[in-house]
Amino acid sequence: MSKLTDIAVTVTVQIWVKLEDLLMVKGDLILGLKLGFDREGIAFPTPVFATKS
Amino acid sequence: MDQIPVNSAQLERQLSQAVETAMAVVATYGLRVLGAIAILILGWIAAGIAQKEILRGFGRFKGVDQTIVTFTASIAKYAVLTFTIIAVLSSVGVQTTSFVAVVGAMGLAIGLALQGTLNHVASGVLLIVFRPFRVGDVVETAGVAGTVKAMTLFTTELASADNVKIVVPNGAILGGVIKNVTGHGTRRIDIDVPVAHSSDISKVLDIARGLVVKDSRIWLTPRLPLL
Repeated sequence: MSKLTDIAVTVTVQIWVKLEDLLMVKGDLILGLKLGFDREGIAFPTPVFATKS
Repeated sequence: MDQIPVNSAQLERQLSQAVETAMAVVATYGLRVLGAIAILILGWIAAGIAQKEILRGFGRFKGVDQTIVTFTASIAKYAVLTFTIIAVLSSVGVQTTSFVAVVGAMGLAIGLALQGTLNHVASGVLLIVFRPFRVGDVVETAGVAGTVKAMTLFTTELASADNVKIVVPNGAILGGVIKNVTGHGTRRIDIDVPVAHSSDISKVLDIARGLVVKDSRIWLTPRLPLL
């Protein structure tokens, strides 16, 4: 998997939605991208939270 | 001091003079006072009728805001009462020309004193008439953002995203930029996804396209659905 420190390209997904779907679509799209990236082995810039050891 | 009459003939003459004088006074001023009372009662009734009729007349139109209807009716009532009082004073012989001038000067003084407040009232009327936003819209204005909860003549009440009650003077809203976030039926979403340089960009684009095409809620343009 590539590392996020290598980030050099920003892909902008630009779409239109009805007002009532705004938040749900945005959330679903981000989640879909994350799952797709994970499937293909592409790093996704989600926040990594510290876990207690 | 008058001399006390010494006989009954003098007493009778003086009494009759007093009665005649009283009758003359009543004839001269009594009718005027009665007329003034009649004008006052009629004016009072007319003011009430004017207020009721305006409330009833505007009530037939669904689009008219209740706040502006009440305000207009109240102004009409007090205008009629003002004219009534001037008419009453005129009927009892008071020179109303100077009174009208005094009322005008008072109006000017009150107007200057309430300059800021009247500005908010005027702005409130314009906001209610032209409606750049409605109750329920999400707006950014006068340096604050939130959902519009209520619009009155002086202020507009917003609720911020964390449910803080924000009261904004109408003059501040109309004097600046109003950004109505929910003003149109559709919105554009921009999602920036930073990807590593070493990643396969075509795969990234395929994933994004696949997601967009699959979702029926996503539109290609502000008006056209994607599918």
